[in-house]
Amino acid sequence: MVLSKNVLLVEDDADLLEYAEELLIQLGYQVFPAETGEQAAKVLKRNVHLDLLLSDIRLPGSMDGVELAQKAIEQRPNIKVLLVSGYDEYFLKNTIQNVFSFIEKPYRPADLDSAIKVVLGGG
Amino acid sequence: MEAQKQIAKAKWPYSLLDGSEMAKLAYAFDWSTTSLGAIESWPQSLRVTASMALSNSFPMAILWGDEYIQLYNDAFIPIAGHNHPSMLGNYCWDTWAEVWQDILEPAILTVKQTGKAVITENQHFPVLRFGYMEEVYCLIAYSPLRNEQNEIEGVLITISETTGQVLGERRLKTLRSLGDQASKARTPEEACEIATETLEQSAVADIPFALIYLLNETGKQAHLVALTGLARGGIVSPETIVLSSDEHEPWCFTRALLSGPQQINDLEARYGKLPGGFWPESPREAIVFPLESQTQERPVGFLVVGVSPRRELDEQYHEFLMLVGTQIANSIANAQAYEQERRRAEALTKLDQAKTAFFSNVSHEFRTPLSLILGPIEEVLNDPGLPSKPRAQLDIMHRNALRLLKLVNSLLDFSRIEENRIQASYHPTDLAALTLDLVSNFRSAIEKAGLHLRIDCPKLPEPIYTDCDMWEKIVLNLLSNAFKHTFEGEIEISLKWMNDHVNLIVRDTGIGISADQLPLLFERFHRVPNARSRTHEGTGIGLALVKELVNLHGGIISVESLPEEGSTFTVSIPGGKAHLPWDRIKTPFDLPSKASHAQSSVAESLRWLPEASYSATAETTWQSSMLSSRSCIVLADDNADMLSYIKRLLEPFYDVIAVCDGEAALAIIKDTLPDLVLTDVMMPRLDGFALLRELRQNSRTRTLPVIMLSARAGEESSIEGLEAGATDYLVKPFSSNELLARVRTNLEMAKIRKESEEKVRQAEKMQVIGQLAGGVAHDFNSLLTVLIGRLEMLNKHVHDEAGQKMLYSASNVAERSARLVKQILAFARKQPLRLEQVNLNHLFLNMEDLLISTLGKENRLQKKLADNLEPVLIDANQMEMIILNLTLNSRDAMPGGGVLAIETRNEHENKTGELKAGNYVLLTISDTGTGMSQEVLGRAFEPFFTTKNVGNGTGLGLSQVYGTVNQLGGMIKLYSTLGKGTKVEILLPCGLNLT
Repeated sequence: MVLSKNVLLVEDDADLLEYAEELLIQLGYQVFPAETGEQAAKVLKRNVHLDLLLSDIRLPGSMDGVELAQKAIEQRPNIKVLLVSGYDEYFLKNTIQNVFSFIEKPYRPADLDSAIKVVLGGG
Repeated sequence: MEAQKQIAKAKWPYSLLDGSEMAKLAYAFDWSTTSLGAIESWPQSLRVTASMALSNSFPMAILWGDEYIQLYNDAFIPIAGHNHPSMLGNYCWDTWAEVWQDILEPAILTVKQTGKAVITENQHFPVLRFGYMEEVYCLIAYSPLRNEQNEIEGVLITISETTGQVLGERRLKTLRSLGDQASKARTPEEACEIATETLEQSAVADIPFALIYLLNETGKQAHLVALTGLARGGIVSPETIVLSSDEHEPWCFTRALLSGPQQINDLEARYGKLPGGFWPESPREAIVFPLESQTQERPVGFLVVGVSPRRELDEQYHEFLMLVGTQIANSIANAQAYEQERRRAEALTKLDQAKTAFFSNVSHEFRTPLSLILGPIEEVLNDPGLPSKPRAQLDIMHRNALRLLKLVNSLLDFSRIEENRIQASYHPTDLAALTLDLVSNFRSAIEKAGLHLRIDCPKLPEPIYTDCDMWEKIVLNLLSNAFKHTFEGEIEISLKWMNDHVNLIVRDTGIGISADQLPLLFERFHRVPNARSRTHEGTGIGLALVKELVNLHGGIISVESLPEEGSTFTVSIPGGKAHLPWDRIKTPFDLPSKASHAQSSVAESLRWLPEASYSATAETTWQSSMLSSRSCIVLADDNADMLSYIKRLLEPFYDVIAVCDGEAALAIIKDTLPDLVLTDVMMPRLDGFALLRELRQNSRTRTLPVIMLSARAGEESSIEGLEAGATDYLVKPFSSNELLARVRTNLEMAKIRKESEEKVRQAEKMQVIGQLAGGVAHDFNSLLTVLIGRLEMLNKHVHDEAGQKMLYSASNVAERSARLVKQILAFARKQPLRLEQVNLNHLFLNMEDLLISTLGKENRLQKKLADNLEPVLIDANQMEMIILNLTLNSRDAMPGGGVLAIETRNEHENKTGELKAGNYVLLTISDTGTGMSQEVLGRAFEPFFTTKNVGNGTGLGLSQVYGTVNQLGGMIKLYSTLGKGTKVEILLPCGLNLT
């Protein structure tokens, strides 16, 4: 038995959060959901193991997804990051592409699955 | 023979032979062939007469003997016309065969029989001269000529031509009747018809035919409206004439427009023979006049008139025809003015009816929800355990709901009266007691405002028949009006018995009403403009309603007022009941308690008083705004509830200075220069528009963002607001979110404006749209993710074929929506290009994965990339979008799978066509898809042109590609063969090419 990987899932749209959580569980991950950057930051501080931060780039509140990702890497050097972009792939490519991986909305279940596997290093 | 002539000569007066043409002719004439015989044989009387006539300069003719042989003088020649000289020595009845029987013979016979002279005035005497039969009028005198035996042997005809006088009078009459008829027309068309009828009746000799054309609104087409003398729709009188400045344009309207009246001389050559009206001959000429009245800027149409075939078109005639044209133009202008006036009146009437109906409906509709608001609020308020904070909030809501209900009720009352549906019941009432009751409710509000209330309502000697509800409305309306407009002094209410009627007098020491406003005061929806007032709440129907109610009591209302001194309203109600409808008169009964109505009225009035702490609050907020870096907003609204509500909304984010009228707002804005102004439209003293005008006139405040708040819904008022220079416009009721969003957006916009003043406004707009689109797209994509994912999940649970089919189609639609979002985004993002040197190979390799996944498993990607590819100067982002777009197109064109080939190559262009000479890179993208037909190919770059089945695509893709490539200074070519595939070639200039 391979231990399931833990994913910190950040998404401000409630429906999408619920769906993605369900999807990740189906794909065999343990999910820690958060609606805002602040909530996610609290999870990062908790004493739980996290393999992946899967976060929307645009988030309400003071912290967007990129800032959250930077914070996460500072705190947990081993965490992998996959950002979800709602639009504007150009912006992503020019500025974040070299730093973080990303996946575009709308993604299909299979897209998310393979993207996560790539980020986590072939599962 | 010779000898005879000699004798004759001797007998003929020689002197005549010198100057007179007719004497010469008469002398040379062989009279022996006539019944007169040779001149030598003429009786002395004939000789004398002839000698007299021939030497006369007045037109004269002698008819001698039973056969009326003619001899005439030089002056007669023009009248003889073509009968000269054959008339000489001929029989009169032969020469003048056409007029002999009717005109000449009766007169001559009378002369012969009676021996008395006969005179016929203005005798029509057609003469053929100058090549045509001419209409001529004469005064003809017939005098008897006697022979030696004193018998009447001949007749002397003396003629004086009166044509000018006859025609002048006739034409004047025509013009006069045109003028008389002009005022009857109600429409331009009618005016034209009346004009042609008039011409037909009185000018048929002067105007054989007439056509009136009116121009349409564009001024490019003329339509035949009325005509006389011709049949409709022939080549002479087409129903429609298009103004074309063509030589063949019938009637030369275009030329007439440019250079005035046109005379057409070749009428017969153009149209053949035309009816001559009164005359048997065809008219030879016509004139076209533009119909132009002094009150109109341009001609409304044209008048075409035929010129009489029997008259020369001399100056008088021309002027007459021109005056006819002017008359017609004037009556058209009158009719137009009348029509406009009538339409306006009709529109106003309709509007009035519509308003009444609308208010009636709206008021009804409003009452239900209002009751539902009031009920629960009152229930909660009745709970003694309610904490004070929510209680205060609920109080505000309660008060405002009551106010609304009151407004709705008065609207409803009004529309009922308008529709004659109000049912008054007149009870014998102790009016003094009732009035006292109503007024005393107001005492505390009035005294709180520092005013003195004087009441003088002595008991009346008899009960007055009144409807108590209505009386209450009369009193409360007048009282609250007085309160609204009085700022110091007193308000006096008195009731006086005047023997047969009672007067209610409401007097105040308020702002008064200017004389020009007094007559309008009782008109519905009239509000005295810019009147200083405690509030601007109101509908403008209060006094109109009072007047109607007073009228229902058989009474009258009057007002006296002096500006700055005050107003006095007097209501007079007759005593007794004789003036009231008998079926509505009731027997005495107890007064019902109406305190609740009065109380809501009073409660409302109390709200108009400014809070004592008000100015102090403004002061402190103002100071804090100086210190903080938060945005500062000046808020102006005369409704205290609204003011504090908005203030509370904004305060967490902004510094707010709240004031209750426009003047105060202006003063504080000039002092502090806030970041934004939020103002109500309707305010006492200085209203929102006036405030806006003041701000826009001052250079410091010209660009200050101003958001207008108004209860007046509808596009009209918002346009009015925006035209007046408002930055934004918010219609009450608005949600708190909406208000905050507008305030925030406007503040941000103002900031952007300040930071980049050199940027064109359009660019800013695009940016905002882009941001908006981006935000929307983000949310949209989130939703689509859920949709697509859930559909896929569902797919595992649905096993029957029909269900799967549905799921498949749903997924398809979701995918398409995703694509649409991308394209719309790209469209919205038409920003200035960010050009950089890009190697297309690298760009392509970077997105290869994306392309492969876009193409899907069924399709293969083939690449052929040139070594040493030159860099091109492009916007990399746009280029990626282009390639993605074309790939998507190809994928859709290869439903059964296929190959997408991408090729890059260096090219050198030697100035062919529109491209500059220089180095280019050619990018070719080809597929093995279904291809396009020639027709489709031709339209492929049109925006929103799509070949895909309903909604398989947006039609934006290729047009966008085309636009972008052009923008980059390149060129795009499309090749396609049905069933084989499509090839797209994109030529892009290399970096160094561009200067």
